[in-house]
Amino acid sequence: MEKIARINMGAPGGPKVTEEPIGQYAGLGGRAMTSLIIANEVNPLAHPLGAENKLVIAPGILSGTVASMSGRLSVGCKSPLTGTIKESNAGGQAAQVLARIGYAAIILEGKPVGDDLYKIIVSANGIKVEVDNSLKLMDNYPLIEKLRREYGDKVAYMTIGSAGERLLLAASIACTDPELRPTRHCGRGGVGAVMGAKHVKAIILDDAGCSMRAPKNPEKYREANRKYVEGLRKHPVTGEGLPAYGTNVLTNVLNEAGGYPTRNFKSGVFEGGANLSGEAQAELEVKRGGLATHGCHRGCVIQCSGIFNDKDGKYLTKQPEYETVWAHGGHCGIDDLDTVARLDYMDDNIGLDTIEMGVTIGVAMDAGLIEFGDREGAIRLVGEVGKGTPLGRVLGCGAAITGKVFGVEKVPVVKGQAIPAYDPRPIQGIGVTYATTTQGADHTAGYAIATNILKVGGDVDPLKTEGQVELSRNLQIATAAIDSTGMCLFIAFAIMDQPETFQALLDLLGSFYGTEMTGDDVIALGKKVLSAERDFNTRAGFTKHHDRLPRFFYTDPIEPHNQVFSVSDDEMDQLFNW
Amino acid sequence: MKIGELATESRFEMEQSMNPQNFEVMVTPQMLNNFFPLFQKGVRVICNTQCTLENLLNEQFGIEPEYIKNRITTIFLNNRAIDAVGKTMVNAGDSLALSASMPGLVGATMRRGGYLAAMRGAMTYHQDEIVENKKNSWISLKLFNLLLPELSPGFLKQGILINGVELKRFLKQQDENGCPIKYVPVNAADVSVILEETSCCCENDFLFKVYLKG
Repeated sequence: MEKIARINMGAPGGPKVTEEPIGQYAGLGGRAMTSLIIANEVNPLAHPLGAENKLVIAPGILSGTVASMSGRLSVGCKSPLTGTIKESNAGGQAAQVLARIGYAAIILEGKPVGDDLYKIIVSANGIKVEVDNSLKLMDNYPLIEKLRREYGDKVAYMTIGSAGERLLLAASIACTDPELRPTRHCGRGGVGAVMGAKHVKAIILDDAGCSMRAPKNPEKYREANRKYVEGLRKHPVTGEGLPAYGTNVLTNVLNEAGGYPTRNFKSGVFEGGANLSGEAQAELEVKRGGLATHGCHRGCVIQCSGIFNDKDGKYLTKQPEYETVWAHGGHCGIDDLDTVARLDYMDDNIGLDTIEMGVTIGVAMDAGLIEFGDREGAIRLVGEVGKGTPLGRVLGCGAAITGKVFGVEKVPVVKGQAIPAYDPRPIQGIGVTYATTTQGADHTAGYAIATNILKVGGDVDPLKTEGQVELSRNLQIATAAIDSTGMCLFIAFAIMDQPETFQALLDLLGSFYGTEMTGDDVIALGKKVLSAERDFNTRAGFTKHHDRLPRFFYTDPIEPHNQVFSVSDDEMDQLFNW
Repeated sequence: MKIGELATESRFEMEQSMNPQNFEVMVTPQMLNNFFPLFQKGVRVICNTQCTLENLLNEQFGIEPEYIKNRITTIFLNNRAIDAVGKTMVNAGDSLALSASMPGLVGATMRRGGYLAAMRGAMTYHQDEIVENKKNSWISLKLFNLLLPELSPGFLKQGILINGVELKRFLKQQDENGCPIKYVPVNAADVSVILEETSCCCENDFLFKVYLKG
């Protein structure tokens, strides 16, 4: 991964490809690559759908190697949804393939004149950009079928559905999974709209003739990977819970905790929660001939994904994730897994962030467009987005805009991005993360922890709010670093609990580059990324006043804990003080 | 995971004092999954209250200390996350939920004694005064994820309290799902009572015991 490709979509005479050495971005990958390029090269005042914005696609530092779990792809830009810097990442095959071809990043720049639509083919022979207007307004599933007929099954695809072409702010970029289904999405922040603004419909990644990326110290690398995999397999979360039940294992627990936002954040417990649980979902999947255990990319040993079939045993969608089940389920008062699965398929097909769409539908219910719990109504509303109707365009631009258009007072967004599946009132620390992250409301921004990184001992009182800002800060630092490696974030528990597994990760990084990596190196990387992101946001006009939750979280107590969000503004303003 | 057998005498005493009717069934291990939705929604189990959670789990339910420490890593009592099982008191009618380790930031936050416990704020359990001291009482128990197949057989064998209406609904649902439960009746009269629309009996509690064949 020693080169970067720049594709100027607005070059005179048509899109132009240039390649350059990695240069100042050497040693970076994933989120570090995307955020530093955006922070360095994009005017923070640029219009996100304009020529000045860039879309950076970067595999992780370890992607394309034999390291397990290294298949995450990062996509970065200025977000049209939030106006902040954005990094959105996905599993699937794209990261592995792009890394093996040898590109540390592909940067889409400029904006074409006219209304031609393009596809980009990336291979060991270089990059070709071709007009293909036959793809216009195709949604992801039929689009992939068509592309497969032309490019085959031994490639990886990145596509946008009709939502991206229509420049909707909830539009995602789909990455194909090992079965070549468009099920893994760079979902958050409207990155699909940025790709659509550059008139790029599909990127075909072909690593034919390419080898796995070789580490500097192969023997040490193999040994580190062995220990790393061993650690992941023996941990109850990564080795048992996630493979058996997927991320939706969280539904019962969040519901029991009273932190499961129900009917647009009106309460923390959903009476239908058990019907939506990961336990119920896994049983249904297996009963219908689907899979409760499945990897979203080759080299994944956690296998938290799955396959959800319909009542007749036919494929319906990939196993919906916890956030999707919540957003289309409890948030909307819907307790039927088949309805949730149908909506998940529609989101994947149209190319939409499932969190943003689900929260939007819940806001629409609060506005009275349909009733809470109206399953067919929810399906109809998402269908409007797919048809591009005026109502669909409003809904497809997310919860904040939908709330404004329909006069809804209580809209759960931060910096314009919908809040995910954990209520911040009983779980104050997640509220700190939602409010302060550089990404807008994001549950994964402060997701990872390792004991010997954080050096946080047992002296933070669980009954008080003090200390939560420090915890959130350290989580955000560690997460930014992990997002740069290409590693799936779900390694977090294993590396947190098992020092030897964390050391194995450091050894993987070190032996790949032929250096020694320490926890301090990881902290430094995380801080570098966050500092660049924060600086971009400041120059874009964001101040501490944007690092707040919506007002109703401070005033409306939530049952069963009767709690409001109570971390002070002054405390939160200290988070980035390093 | 095997739940240890309680002292037969103390279990017998509790059951006698509550005086529910017995309803016992024998099922194959493959049918165990049919009971999981009951445990996810919550079942009543007979126990003494006025005790610590540690006492309840270890000495009354017979769950081994190593299992409690290493496997039951997320616990809620009345919707609040528990950190110290040895210091948490259980009252009559409390709702207890047991889970294995959870993924993600919030999963880590819920974890018993975890570094991220401070991120919970006030939803952490804080011992209030004991409201009601009652021996031979009951609590509501929920089991989630990995603990379902591991702990539910033991609790089913000890018996769960269920009233006639709920029991009838449950048995009917198994029929509708194509998995009728072949029951071993305590005596024929008890079975017929459940299956008939006799309101005075359907309101009563049954002690529903389930044995696994083989």
